[in-house]
Order: sequence, then structure tokens, then C-alpha cells
Amino acid sequence: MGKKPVTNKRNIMRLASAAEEAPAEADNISPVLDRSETTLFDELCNATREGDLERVAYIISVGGPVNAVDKWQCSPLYWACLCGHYDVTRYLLENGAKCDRNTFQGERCIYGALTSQIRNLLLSYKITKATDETQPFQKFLTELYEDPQESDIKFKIRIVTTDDVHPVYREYPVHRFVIAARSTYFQRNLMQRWLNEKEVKLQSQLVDPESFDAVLHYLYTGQLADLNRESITNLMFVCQHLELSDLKKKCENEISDTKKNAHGDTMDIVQIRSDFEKFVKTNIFGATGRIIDQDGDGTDIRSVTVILEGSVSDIEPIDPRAVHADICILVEDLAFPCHKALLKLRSEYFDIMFSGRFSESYIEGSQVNYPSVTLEMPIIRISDISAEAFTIILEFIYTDAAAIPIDMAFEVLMAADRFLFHRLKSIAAIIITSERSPIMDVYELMRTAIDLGVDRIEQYCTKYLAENLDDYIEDTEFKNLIKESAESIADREETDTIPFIDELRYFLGKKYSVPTADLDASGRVHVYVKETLTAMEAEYNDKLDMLDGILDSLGLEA
Amino acid sequence: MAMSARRLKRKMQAPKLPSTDPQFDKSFELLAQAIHEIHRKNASNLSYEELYRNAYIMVLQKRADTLYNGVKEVISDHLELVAETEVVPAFVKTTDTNARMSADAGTSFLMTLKRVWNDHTTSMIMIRDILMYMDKKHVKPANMPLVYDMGLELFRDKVIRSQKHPIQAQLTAVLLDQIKMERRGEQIDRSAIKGAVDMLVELYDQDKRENVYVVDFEPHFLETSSAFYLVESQALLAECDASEYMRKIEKRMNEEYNRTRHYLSPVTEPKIRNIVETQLITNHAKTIMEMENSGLRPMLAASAIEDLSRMYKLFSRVPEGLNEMRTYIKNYVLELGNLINAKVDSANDNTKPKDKDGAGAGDKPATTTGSLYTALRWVQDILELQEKFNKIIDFAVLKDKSFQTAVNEAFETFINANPRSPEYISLFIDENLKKGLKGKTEEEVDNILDHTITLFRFIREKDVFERYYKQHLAKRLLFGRSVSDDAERSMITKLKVECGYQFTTKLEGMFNDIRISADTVTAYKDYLDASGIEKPKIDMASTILTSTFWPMSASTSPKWIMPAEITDACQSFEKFYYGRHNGRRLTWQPNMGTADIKASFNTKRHDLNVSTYGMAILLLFNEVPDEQCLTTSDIQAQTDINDIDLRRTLQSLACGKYKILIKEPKGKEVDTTDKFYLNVNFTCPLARIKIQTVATKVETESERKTTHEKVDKLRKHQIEAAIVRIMKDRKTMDHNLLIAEVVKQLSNRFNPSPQMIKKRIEELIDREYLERNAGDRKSYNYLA
Repeated sequence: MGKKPVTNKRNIMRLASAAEEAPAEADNISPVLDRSETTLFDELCNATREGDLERVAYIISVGGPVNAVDKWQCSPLYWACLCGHYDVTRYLLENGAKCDRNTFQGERCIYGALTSQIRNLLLSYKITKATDETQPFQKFLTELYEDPQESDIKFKIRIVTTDDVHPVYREYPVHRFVIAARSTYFQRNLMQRWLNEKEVKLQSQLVDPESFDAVLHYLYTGQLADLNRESITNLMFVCQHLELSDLKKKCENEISDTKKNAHGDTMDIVQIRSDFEKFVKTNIFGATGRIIDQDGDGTDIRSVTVILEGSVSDIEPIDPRAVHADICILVEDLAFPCHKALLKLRSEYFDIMFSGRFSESYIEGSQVNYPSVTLEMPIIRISDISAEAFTIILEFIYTDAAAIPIDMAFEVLMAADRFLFHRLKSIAAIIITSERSPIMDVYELMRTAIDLGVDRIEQYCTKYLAENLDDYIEDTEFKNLIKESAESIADREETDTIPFIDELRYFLGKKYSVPTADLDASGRVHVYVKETLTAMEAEYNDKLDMLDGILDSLGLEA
Repeated sequence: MAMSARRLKRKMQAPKLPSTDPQFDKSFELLAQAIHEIHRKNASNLSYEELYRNAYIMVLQKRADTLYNGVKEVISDHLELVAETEVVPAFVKTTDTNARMSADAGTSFLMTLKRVWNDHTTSMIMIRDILMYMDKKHVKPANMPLVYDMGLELFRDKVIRSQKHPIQAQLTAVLLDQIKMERRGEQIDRSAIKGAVDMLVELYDQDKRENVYVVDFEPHFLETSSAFYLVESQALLAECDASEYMRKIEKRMNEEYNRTRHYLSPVTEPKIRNIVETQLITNHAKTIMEMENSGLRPMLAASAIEDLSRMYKLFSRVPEGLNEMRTYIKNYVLELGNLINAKVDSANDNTKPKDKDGAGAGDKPATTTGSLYTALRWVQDILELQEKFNKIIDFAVLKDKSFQTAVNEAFETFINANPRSPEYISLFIDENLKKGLKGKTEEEVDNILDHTITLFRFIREKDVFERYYKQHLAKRLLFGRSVSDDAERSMITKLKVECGYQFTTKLEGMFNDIRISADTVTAYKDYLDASGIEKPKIDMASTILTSTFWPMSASTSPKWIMPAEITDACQSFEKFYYGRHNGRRLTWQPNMGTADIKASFNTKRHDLNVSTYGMAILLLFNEVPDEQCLTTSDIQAQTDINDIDLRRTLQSLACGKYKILIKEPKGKEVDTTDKFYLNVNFTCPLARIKIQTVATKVETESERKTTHEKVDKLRKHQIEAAIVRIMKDRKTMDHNLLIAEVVKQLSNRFNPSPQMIKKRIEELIDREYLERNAGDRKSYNYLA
């Protein structure tokens, strides 16, 4: 508590709430969007007005319509500019929000920008087109493409030279699961003729080296590499052969249309996500087996035997070889086939685990016995986490997004904290704080929030306690919270504030809509308006008196 | 699957477990065991999942502090053990008396330390991996040293700065010993030292806010280095000459630089450099410069560019080094310059008494050519000196501006110390423009003149120079002695560049006069042909000079009795000229002209080219019968030529190379009673003979006096003009400011002394140009 300056936070909130009044009844008038999108869009607008970057990021990651407009023709970007949320504005721009100078929407954003900082950002954005650093997923894809560690198949294409005796090959180490997830052609062939191959030679007449490089670039990052016209024509031929209709269409667009689709990147990422999501849900979870027998324990699991029925939800079992896994992770009674390359890049925890320093890197000869086939791969058990939570973590690792059911949210929060997935932690926190009342004991939630350092939940709990002060004020737990908060400030002197109490007062003020200007030194609504005190203001003063009473009983002053 | 049941259970699960849980001890025990395994290099048997989980749980149980301190203790114990069992046994035994052996022991000690250090850092990386959750969630927010840094601190305190074992002293001693050996020229294992130094650099001392290398080792290193170079410098000075010394210390400096580069820290570089520079250069700069037979003076004398350049580079490293070197060089230049001046003085000392003797009797040719030689020698010497130092400045001191300035100052000082420098320089130019064709190409002449111009720059009294230059130029032009117009013009262009337009207008005017005169002569001839007037008996070419441009006082014609033939011709020309130019007046200057006359001797007829005066004298002999003579006073009476010119002309006719007249008694001096006969037996293989006037190239004292008087007079005008110009502009001005301004305005011509200016001001007050300010006696008002 109290890590940020309190007044600053209040200012931001106040700005947000000022804007909040207006679009309250925007719900039913967005004819373009269907029902679910409408609510998503409204949430997005609200989040941008409040400057809630985490929530904005979350909504966009689940496909919130960035460039839609509400009934006043206002886009989320416009709201963010108008309310002066620099970070949110930048995030929206980086995630495909349009701001063209010569359009009504664009001019409006620039005109309406609250600060010159935001205005400059809008103006500069078109020029700089900054790389998207807040999008770790894209960065990770590029890394995976550029440095294909732990690759499990190598393509070779002969480079045209005059020397027939010593042919030169260009080699492409790739990850089976990536190309399988992204292309039906590769998926099919990896299961059939290339099933047990470590190296595959492609015919250079059919696939030229440059085009194949572009194909891989597309499969890994979704983007069309910078190529000249001739190379694109070659690439289109290759696409025909490799059944890559999307890439072929991209090439056609590139040739016919000189203007590039400004928001293609975002769409590409969405496509990759959905491919990966499909792969996780059908292939990985389809091949996730229930353990019926295990040989060995601890760091030395020699084999596990699994069955494939109904392990995760109702997903159809699949040939486990189609996962192309190189590591099997056991959680509770389930065995998840996974990919080291991806785990390492997406998580520091797994990176260290497979770094070669610890035993996990040296497991050999262990087997996973599926009903249909036996696969040899390292087996690792992860304890003290539920299979359901791990399922969500896996989904997040592979797709950078996760749908968390409310009853799993707390456990996912804990797990994300343990394995240091900050984004997943934020998503879980958003889910938890979206509930009207706490999903569990408010004290326990609050303490966890403090322990794990989740400000959002801490605020949420404080707000909840402030709004229901009468129900909690007598609790010992409540008093303990006040005491701990006072102790959290080292060498606290009498004049110092207690962060927790400050927050409570702030939320009380919000609840009873008391303007700060009317407050006196002790925080009460001022005497000179006493005659005209409304019922709400009187109640506010009463609540403050209650708080002071508690403080007195604790021998504290604030 | 009983998912819902489990979920409910978990929902209520508190993240906080009871702190008395025996789980805690078990978790810690497991971790401590793992750390032991890591230290034993058995980490590949450890399950990361298990260790991370246990550490995570402990932090979640709020036992992070206990975990942190526990781990700290385990590592600390291990390091103490390592110090005792591995580092201490590797100590260099004091019994190793043999230097080589002790060096090897030192290397192996460093290697041991490096191995221990590498093991420790590797272990710490793994321990950090295991405790990553604690680092991120507990240690970092609490602002404590992260686990890895804590490990480094422990290594610092338990091994390097161990309280129990003198490891640090040993390490420092070994390192210094190794460096000492390398300085002595022995091979050492640099990688071993580098390993140790890198380790010290990586360790950090929070109290001192510096790494351990800087805190613990560097001071010792600098101290020993300082002592080493103190001794070294004494030894070198004793056995080497300056050049050798500088070569040696340059090598030392490179060595030290490479040392910091290769195995010590770069932060040491400026410090050790400072020490070496102080010990080897600053403390001995004077000694080196003043070394007999090899110091700065012999280097300069021999133009030893390489040594000088080395000295410059070395001295530029220390403060004041270059200053001292510069001052030394400046003094040296001054000294050489004064030597050159002294040569002139000694030459003049020889002539002076004679000058005084002959003050009334004219000058002696021998001395004049002697002093011409002196003048040319003087300029030549200075040019050589300048060239020498230009070379030194260009190549040895990298064209350092401050050196250039210092040398220039020296030149300026000694050139102006010679009062005749303006004359000499002008003479030198005269000599080159006149006789330049003799064996020198145009470029060479041009080159010499370029250099001479640089000398001209040093002259303070530029107006004096101008005066001489005009005189010399006039003679060259009138006697047609110039090498070429181009050369003359290019010289004037150079002067113009130096001093501006004003300085050279008159010189250019002189050129114009010559050109116009040629036209006038042609016009005169046409006029004679056309008009049918009886032509004068002689063929006359006049040169018309604008009196203000030329140096001679033109207002009056020198008195002489013009021979009748000449008079006719003159009158004829005057008639022509006045007809064309109304309001101009011609004054004949016989001392500036020449005449071609035909002379019949016994054997042969010769064409003689003589001066106008010479012609007049020779014409007298037409009337004198053979074997008869004329005395000097006779000639004087009949020609009325002034005394000095007469003597000079007679000398040229009777005492020169071609003796047209025979003097009695023989001798170089001409006396009033001397008798002159026509040398009727004169023979010469040449048909045409040019009789050179014996002209004093160098002014005699008396001439100099007049020249200076003239210059002074001119200066007076210039000062007055300047004062009036300034006062007209300012109306009122303080005395001192006025003087400063006048000096400033005139500085590119000469340096007027304040007294001189003051006199002029008083003069101007008398003439009512100015008045003293009534209120402030120190300032003046301009009176319009």
C-alpha cells in the first residue's frame, strides 16, 4: 500500500470519473456490432476513459474492436486523448488504433488531446511507427524465428552452384509444432512422410531458398518479408505448392496494391494466436493423458502410462505424435506434452530449468506410454499446482491470452505469481476485480494482494471495505490491517498519514460524492456548509468519525 | 474428475501457512543441502522444480528473511572453508628465495584464486536461479543486495578481506611482485593477473562506493609505481643523454599504458600516467632541456626533428611542460638573432670611424659594398634562421600555434633591435629584384621574396621601410635595373596584402609614371617629326615623375650648370610638355638620369653610358687639350654640381673598373686639389661600356639621419591627421583614450611614442584644432 503518491492517483481517477457520466447510456446504440462485441466495446471505452492500461490491454488481447466508434462517433483513442491518458493512448496506437491526420477521427484526436505530450505522440506516431515493445508475444515469435533453439527438424535446399560433386545446401532448422500449427500442408506431411525424419531435403526446383525463407518468416511471425517483385512471384508459386493460400493472397495484395495495409500486423498476430490456440486446444490438450501408471519418482521418472479419454474438458483425443512434443510435464494426474523452445522463450522459470544447470536438462530415456504409441521424451513433474490452473497457464504461454473462469481466477493469480507471468497475473487480477463483491473472504484477498504486490486488487478490497464500512469496522482483522499499514511506514511519526486510512477516506468521499473543495482541515465537510449539509454529506462525516474512533482505540493518529 | 470439490477446497485455502510448520525446517534443510551439492559441483542431480518450489513456499510463508540469512550463512561457511583449505595453502612460501621460483609460485597462487572465484560465481548463478522468486518478491522490494550480489560480498569479506587469513596482503604482494618483474623485463603470466584484477573489479565496496580493486589494490600499486619511477628516473638521468632518456621514458609510458589496457583496469590509466609523467617528466623537465651536448639547445642547433618531436609529445603531457619548452626555444631564437645583429654591429664598428672621417669628404666604396654585404648577410641569416624554425614548428611541434607565436615574438624582438632592419630588408628585396636573374629562376626569387615578406611583418616601423623601398624602387625604375615588371608588381601585391591599399598607392603611382613617360616620349618624338621644328642635337628621353609619389625632394632642381646641348633639348621638351599639360611644372633631376655618349680614344671609339653628371664632366674635357688637366675645383666651378655628387661621379670615372679619367695623385679618395686627365689611351674589348655610378647602397650615418628626419616629419603629419580624424569623430575625448586610439590607428605603419603624440596634441591646440576641456583638464574638445 501507499507505493504511489496518493494525490496523483486521485487526480487520475477524478478525470476518469468526470468523463464517465457522459457515455453511460451508450449500450444499445451501436448497430454495427453484435451483442457480445458491444459490451466488449463499451468496456473498452470505459477502460480508456479511466486510464486503466491493464484492462485496455486485456480487452484488446481478447479482440476488442479498437477502431469502432460509439454513438457520439468517439473512438477509444479519442477518449484516451481527451482524458489525458498517455500510456493508454500509446498502447492503443501501438495496437492498431487509427489516427490519420486528414480524417475526421484523426483531427479530432489531435484537437482533443489533453496535453501537448499526447498531441506530440499522436503526431509522431505516423512517422516513427515505433516497434511494439508492449507486445511480448510478437517479440517472442520473432526471437523464435531468428534463433531457432531446440529445433527438431531441419529442411535443406540445394543452392544452385556449378559444382555438382560437392552440392551446397542451405539449412533451415525449424520447430515442428510451429509449422504444423500454422499450415495444414506441413501438419499433414510431418505426420506422414516426415514423421521420423530429422532432416528433409526440399527440391530446389519446387522451392527456391529465398522463398522458403519468406515462407518460414510468414509462418513464424505472420508477416511478409521485404521482397522485390520477382521474389514475390516466386513466392506465390511456392505458396501454391505448399498450400499457403493466406500468404498467396498477401503476395497478390502486395503486387496489386502499393499502399500497405496499415493494420495488417495486428491482424497477423490475431491469426497466429488463433492458430496457436487451435493447436493448444486440439493437439496439446487432445494428447494430454490421464496418468494410470508411473515408474520412478522425483527427478527420476522413467516412464508414465496414460489414457487419453476426457482428460481436459471434452476435447477429442488425438494422435499424440501430432503434438511433436519434446517434453512431458506431469501435473497432478495429467501428462501435458509441451515444447521446450516455447517454454524457454516465454518464461524465465523454464529457461533456467532447461539451461543445463539442473537435472531437468539431463533426463534421458524416459518414456510416455500412450494407448496407441510409446514416445520417448523427458518427463518432469510440477507439484503444488492444480491441473486446471496449469491448463490455463499453458494456454497463456502458447497464445499470450487466457480465458479465466471466475472460480479459477484466484488460483491462476497465485500460479502466475509463482511462475512470474506478470501479464497473466494482471489478467487474473482484472477478472477478480470485475466482480461486484469479493469472490472470497475480503481480508484474505486483501492480504494476498499485499503479499503478491497486486495494487489493483488491494484498491478493489479497500474500496469494498469503504463502501461497506459498517459491516467490517468492528472486526479485529480490520484493525489489524490499519495497524499493519501504519507499521509499513518505517519510523512513522505522528503527523504521517496511514496509507490505508487515506485510501478509505478517499473511497468514502467518492461514495458520497463529496467535493474536496468543501472539506476542512480534519477532512470533514466544512462547517460553513453545515446548515446545508445533505444527508449524504452528513453520513460521510459520520463514517469519518467512526474511522477516527477506531484510530483512537488503536492509539494511532492520522 | 472431482474438480468442483477440489476447487472449493482451494478457494478457501489461505496463502499463508502456519509459521510453526515443520515444513519450514524441511524446506530449508533441502535448500541448504542443495547448496552444498552445488558447491560440490553436483548440481546436475538437483531438481530445479523442487528447489524453486521450496524457496517459493518459504517466501510465501513470510520466512524470506530466515531463508536469506540461512543461505547467507551456508555460503559464508563454505567460503571460509575454501579460504582455509584452498587459498591459504597456495600462498607463496617466503622460503622461495629464487626469484623465478617465487614468481611461478605467485602465478599459481593467482590461478588458484581465479579458480576459486570462478567456482564461486558459477555456484552463485545457480543459487540465484533457485532463489529467483525470493529475489524478485522480497529482496528487491526490500532494497537488500540480491542473492548474487550478496554472494559477491561474502566472497569479498570471507576470502579477499578475510579476517583470519592474510589473503589480501598476499594477493597485493603477489600482484605487485609480478608487475615489478614485468617492469624489469621478465616474462610473466598476464592472464593470471588479469583474472585476479577482474575479480577485484567485480567486487564492490558499498562504504567507499567503489570496487575493491580501486579501494584495496590501486593505492598500493600507485605507491610502488611512484617509488619505482623515482629511482628509475635518477638511474636513467645518470646514464643516458637527453635523447636516449626520452626514448626510454616514452617506452615506459607505453608499457604502463598497455599494462592498464591488458590486465589492470582502465580507471588506473590516468592515475598511473600522472605518476609516470610527474616522476619522469615534470620533475626533470629542466634537467633534460639543459643537458649539455644533448639537451634542447643542441637539438635545436642540429634541427633534430625526431628528438624535438618526442620532447614536444612528452612535455605536452605535463602542465607547464610546453610552457618551459616554449620559453626555452624563444630565448634560444633571441640569442641567435642577437648574434646576427651583433655581426652587423661589428661590421659597422669598422666603418663607423671612417664614416665620421669622411663625413665631409664623401663615402668610401670599399666600406659601402662591405655594409651592403653586411645588410644582405643579415637578411639572409635571418631567413635561414626562420626557415630552420619553420621546419621545427611544422614537423616537431605539430604546428603548435603557441610555439609559432613564441618564435615570432623572438624574431620581432631581435629584428627591431636592429635599427636598420627596414633598410636592410628593403635592400635585400632590391638586390633580389635587381640581380635576380643571375642564376635564380623566377620561382626561386618569388619564394625568397615570400619569405622576406614574413620578415617585413615583424618590422614595427613600416613607414621607414616604405621610405627605403621607395628609394630603392625609384632607382630600379629610373636606371632600368628591375628584373621584370611582373616581379616588381607581384612584390607590390604582396606588400598590399600585408599593409593594405594605402601603403602601396604611391608605389603603384611610380609604376604608372614610368609607363606614361614612355608614351610621352613617343608623343614627343611624333610631335617633333610633325611640327618640323628643328630637332635638338641630342636624342632625349624624359621620364616624368609625379613629385608626391617619388622619394626625392622634387620642389627644387639641384643646382648645376646645364651643358648647352642639354639646355636646348630640355627647352624643346618643356615647350612640348607645357603645351599638352597646362599648369604643370617640370623640375629636371640630373642626378637621376643617364646619358649615352660617343668617345673617341686613341685606339678605338667607344659608346659610354654614364650618369647625367658624368656626361657634364666628360663634356668639359672636350674643351681641354690633351695632356691638360682639370682639378676637382675646376670641375666644380664649371659644372656647379654639389660636392657629394661630384665626388661620386669623379670616383666612378677615375677609380672604377673603367678608368676614363686619370686621377693624380692616385687613390680612392677625391680631394679638391686632385688633377684629372682624360685617359686617351683607354682600351676595352667592349664597344659599349656602362660606367656604374658609385652609389652608396647602404646609407651613411648622415643620410640615415636625414632619412629619419624626413620620416619623423612625415610621422608628425600622420599623427596629426590621425588625431584630427579621431577628434572630429568623437568631439570630446580623454587624453589617455586618445593616445591609445592614435597608437592603434597607426600601428600598422609605426609605433608612435606617447610623448610624440602629446607634442602633436599641443601643436594642434596651438593651431586651434583642439582645446582643453574647461572642466576636465585631461580631456580635449574638437574645434570645428
